[in-house]
Amino acid sequence: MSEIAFETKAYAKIILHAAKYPHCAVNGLLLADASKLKDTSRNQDIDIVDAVPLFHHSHYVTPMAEVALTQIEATAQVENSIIAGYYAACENFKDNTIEKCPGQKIAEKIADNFPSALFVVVDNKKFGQNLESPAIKLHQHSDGKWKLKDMKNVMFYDTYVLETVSHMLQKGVQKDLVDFDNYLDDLTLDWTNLGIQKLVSSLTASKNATDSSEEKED
Amino acid sequence: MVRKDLARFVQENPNDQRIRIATLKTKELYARQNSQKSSQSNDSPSQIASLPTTYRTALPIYENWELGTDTTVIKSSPIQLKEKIQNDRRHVERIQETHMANVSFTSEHYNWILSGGKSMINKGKHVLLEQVIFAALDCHRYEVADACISILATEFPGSMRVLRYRACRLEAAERYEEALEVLDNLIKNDETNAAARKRRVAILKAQRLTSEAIKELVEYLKKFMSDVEGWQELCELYLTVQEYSKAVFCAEELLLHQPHSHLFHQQVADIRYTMGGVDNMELAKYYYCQALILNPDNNRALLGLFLVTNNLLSHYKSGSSSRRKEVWRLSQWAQQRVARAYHHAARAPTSGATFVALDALLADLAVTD
Repeated sequence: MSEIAFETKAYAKIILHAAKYPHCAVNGLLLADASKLKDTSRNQDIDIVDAVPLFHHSHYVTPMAEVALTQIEATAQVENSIIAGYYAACENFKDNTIEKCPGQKIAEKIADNFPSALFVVVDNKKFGQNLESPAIKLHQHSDGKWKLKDMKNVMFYDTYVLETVSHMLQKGVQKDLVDFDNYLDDLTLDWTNLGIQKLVSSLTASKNATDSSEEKED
Repeated sequence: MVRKDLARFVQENPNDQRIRIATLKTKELYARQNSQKSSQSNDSPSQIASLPTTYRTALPIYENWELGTDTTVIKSSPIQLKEKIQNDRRHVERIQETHMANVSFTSEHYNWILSGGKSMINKGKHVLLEQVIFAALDCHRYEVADACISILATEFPGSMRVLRYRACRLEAAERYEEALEVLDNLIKNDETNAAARKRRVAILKAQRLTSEAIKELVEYLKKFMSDVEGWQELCELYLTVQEYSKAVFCAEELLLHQPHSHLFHQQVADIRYTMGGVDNMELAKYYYCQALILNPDNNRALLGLFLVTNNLLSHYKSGSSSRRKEVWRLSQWAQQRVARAYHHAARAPTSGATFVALDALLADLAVTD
């Protein structure tokens, strides 16, 4: 059984993207650390290190998707990561399954290149300002189908991931998130969202610091 | 109308920085055209619908309603309050701001209205009340919405418009059958009520009855052919069910209404590209070129043109040399423009480093001769 591990910033970006455009379907890519992966093996542990928010409109037309995939793949190669998955959030509150998500063809293309690709569906019903459980559903590609994975097999690197993301939602960080659509509108924007990554790491660091200081007090 | 009054309100209340309302005038329409970013964000005010069309979702994700209730946050059904989309970019910004400040927007203005806002111009007050109703429904604050509706009802007894808000209120509470009844009554009383018919379509879409929504919208458009937002919505609906030829028909209708919009040209081109095949590629090429003539800074059209020309080059490998030459030159031109745009962007102080990606992108997408 392969273990999936999520870095905080990946999960954060997914949630922030969905929060930024609550009235639209959104989608994006998941990047995994390539150094730990071997292309051919199926049941391997996957480390999702980053997520790239793609679009919040025009999901069903392909040209910009092609551009985005090519560009992100090129950047990913430089950073020694690989496009290992796809995430999507449906427009309608009640849609929480793969079939209703936009861009399934993109996911299938990713699966062609990376056999054990992941498909994350944002669970609209669990979405909130105070997240109590990860608001995502994970599916893994195997034998041509997307099989639902138990969330118990999904690990988050940071124990405080939910709190960090909730905190960011409450502060309204999502309006600073840049997705590929925003980037196409204004090429000066940074779709890698370095700013948000720094924020995430500083929040995580401060949480861990308070943790360790509390331990010392004990 | 809404925006102008709200803008006046903003000027009179300079402390409230959360509202940024654009007051658009038609003569500035074309000037603004080139600053539109996507066909989904169109600045033109609705000339058809009697009410400002706003794209809403009920997302109580920004709640910090001071009443101390906890958040019932959900990623909402976008059709909760989805009127036919005007897709105004400023609108979207304002909506986002409204969402973010939704509760504060709602609470502050509601309190203000109740306390002493009657000193304000009457016209503005009612318009503001309408906005507050939508904001409240977005936040699932039904008490506020009900109170505002009753204020409006007392001031305008027997009004069709107020009745529509009651239907919206029912829709937000997911009491779709009752909402549909109310709307049916409205339509029976007034056959020309376009907004009520559109709300019916919205309700069907909220219930995820896409094919029914499409049928209803087609019927609507047979009667109200000049409704731009209706055509736009129908185009999207067809795309979700992957009926590309019908979607392209709708997109071309949009072009009939607004032939100078680079975004609509680009949208038609995108759909043609998605359909595939040499003929569609040729058409896509024409539409992308037209979009670029109208707005040379449309990045999507530039990249689209680059993709299309490369696609065509692979088709014309063995074809006539003149066509191939023309396509080749277009491809080079597009490549240069894309490179120039990226270089400009890279020089900007806040840009991210996507240079590496650009070269790889152009290389990967291009056809080497």
